[in-house]
Amino acid sequence: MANFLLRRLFSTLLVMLGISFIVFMIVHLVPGDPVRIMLGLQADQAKVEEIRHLMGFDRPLMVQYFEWLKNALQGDLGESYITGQRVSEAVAQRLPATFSLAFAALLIGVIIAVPAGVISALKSGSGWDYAAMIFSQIGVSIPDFWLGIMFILVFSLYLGWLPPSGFTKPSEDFGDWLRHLILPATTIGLISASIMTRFIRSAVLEMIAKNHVRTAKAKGLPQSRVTSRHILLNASIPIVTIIGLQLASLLGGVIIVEIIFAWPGLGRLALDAVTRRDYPMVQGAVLMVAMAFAIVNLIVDLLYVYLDPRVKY
Amino acid sequence: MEAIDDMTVAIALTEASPNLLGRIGAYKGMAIVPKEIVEDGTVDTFPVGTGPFKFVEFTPGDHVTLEANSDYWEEGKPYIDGVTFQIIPDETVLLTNLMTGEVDWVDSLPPQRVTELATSGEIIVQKKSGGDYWYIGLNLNREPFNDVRVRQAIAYAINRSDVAAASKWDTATPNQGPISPDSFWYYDYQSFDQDLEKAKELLAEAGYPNGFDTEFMPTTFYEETVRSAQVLQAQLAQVGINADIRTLEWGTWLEEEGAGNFDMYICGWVGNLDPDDYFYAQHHTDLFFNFTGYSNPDADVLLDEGRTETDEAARKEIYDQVQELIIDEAPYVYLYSSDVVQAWQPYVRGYSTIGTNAKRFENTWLDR
Repeated sequence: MANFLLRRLFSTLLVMLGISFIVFMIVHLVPGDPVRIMLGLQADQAKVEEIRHLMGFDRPLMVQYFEWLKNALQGDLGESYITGQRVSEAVAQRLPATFSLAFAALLIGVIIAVPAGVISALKSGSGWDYAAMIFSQIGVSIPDFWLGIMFILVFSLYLGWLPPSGFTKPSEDFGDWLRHLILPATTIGLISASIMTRFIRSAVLEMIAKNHVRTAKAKGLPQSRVTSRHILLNASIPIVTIIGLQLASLLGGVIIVEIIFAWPGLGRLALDAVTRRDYPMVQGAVLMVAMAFAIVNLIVDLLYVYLDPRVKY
Repeated sequence: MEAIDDMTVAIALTEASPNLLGRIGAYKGMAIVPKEIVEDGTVDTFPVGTGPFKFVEFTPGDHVTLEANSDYWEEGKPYIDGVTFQIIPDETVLLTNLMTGEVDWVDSLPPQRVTELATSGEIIVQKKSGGDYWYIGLNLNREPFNDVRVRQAIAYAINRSDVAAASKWDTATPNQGPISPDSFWYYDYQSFDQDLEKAKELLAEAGYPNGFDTEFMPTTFYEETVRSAQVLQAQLAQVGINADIRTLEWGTWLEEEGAGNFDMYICGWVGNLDPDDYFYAQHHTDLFFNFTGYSNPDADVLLDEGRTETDEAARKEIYDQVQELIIDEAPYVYLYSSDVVQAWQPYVRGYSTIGTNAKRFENTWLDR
């Protein structure tokens, strides 16, 4: 196990290195000059050149990358070109909002998708099954920004039950945090549930068709036993996988929902940084997302050990 | 600069600058801050100034929190305890926040809803025409825009009312010059009322009797420029000018503009107060923001004079001449002057919209 973890750590670092390099190159090579964007209206050519030189933009790209890497390895992700704020601080500032939304949305998604997917597979072809499939088809087809705005109009403007947008830290006001969380989490949660329902249904259906299930039934085991031990337990691996993938992608930030709900998450941070060619911030945000993926994947892989006795690291 | 006493500063200039107060205090102005925070760089993340409110904290891109400055030089002000600026990117959600009372004041409204909201009686809407002007920038380093007759043809071919209406609904005034009619510096010079025949004549004279192919370059950063481009495309087609539209995001757009990779770009200059703001950086030979490549020694002389002339009447005359010259030579084809539009809940008192887009809350109080 220790060996496995070490190898995992090493390969994760390699992946993050690769990602940081590719993103660095792409964002620097795309047209658009951060100095021009930064200086805005009070600049002249001399000032632009001066700042360019000061920030090291006139050096070769590889040199600039290694400079960034050297600092990053020492824990210094640099400062935003636009605000001067330390990148690590800016990313950390966004974490409470991103985590709140990701976990709440996932919770809603899982609470809906797991029963829906399992029941529709177990009762395949029944009314439940069709209902679940229609629901998930609609959910997958609806644009998230439309759903979000509809929720805001109905629950905030017309009914006045919930605030339309924004984020309050749970430490500041727990009730307010919840009230602000409900609409964006439900928006994403419903769509996420739609995606997961289909996967879960497929996974369970596949399991039902397997030989060992037929054998179990033939042996005369009660249906509940067959379902829990032979179908669901085995289907739990793909189910846990899809849930993990959803979580990882939610932790990366959900740009559109963040924009609609004025949610101060990582997605908006990354988008604003890219728009303004705020290179250090882009690197920082992307690294954060890569790390989230790596950690979630690791947790899912470790869960396999509990779920599948054949898996040993 | 010299501090004469605790409350007085003397600034010695090498030449007259009638524009000085504007350059210090207006939209693009400066602040008086302690030397230490500039030297150690914390002015970027924790500014300290002399205004009615003090900086508390901010999450860049999300919000800024200010609280009342008890040491403010005007006794008793500000009346409110603080102001928080919350950034809400989506216009509909912004409006919902205002309507539900989650926020008390907003500084942008979807332009297509302004008139309806203003007459609804539920919120107060104020529009002030200001120092913002929107225009088509032509590339004088490219054919056929190096020929003044072609540029003038474009100025004759378009219908500014339609462009203004499509871009900003009721919140813009079509204008053949950059300065808004409300301003002291406004010069009523309407030489390009729409005249399609004249436009075609000029094009024929310049050697393009059947028009030519070209391209507009608006940006998604300012949605209105995209709408303007679409309307202009249809209008120019009437005189045989076939324009494609190449819409770019901000960073790329700035790059292309700076590199001169465009035929006609659409953009605006905002927050202009002094006449110098409207013309100098944009049209003086060889200056950084002169993206059209316009160069006219006569204009340069006038612009330099206007900067240092302290007699207001004489200054007005100089800038009237500047406007005639620049409008006629059409490096920019002016489209409209847009309004600053702000809205607030009825219980917000003591606030009024200012044409320069400055937001002043020192006299504001909440009646509830």
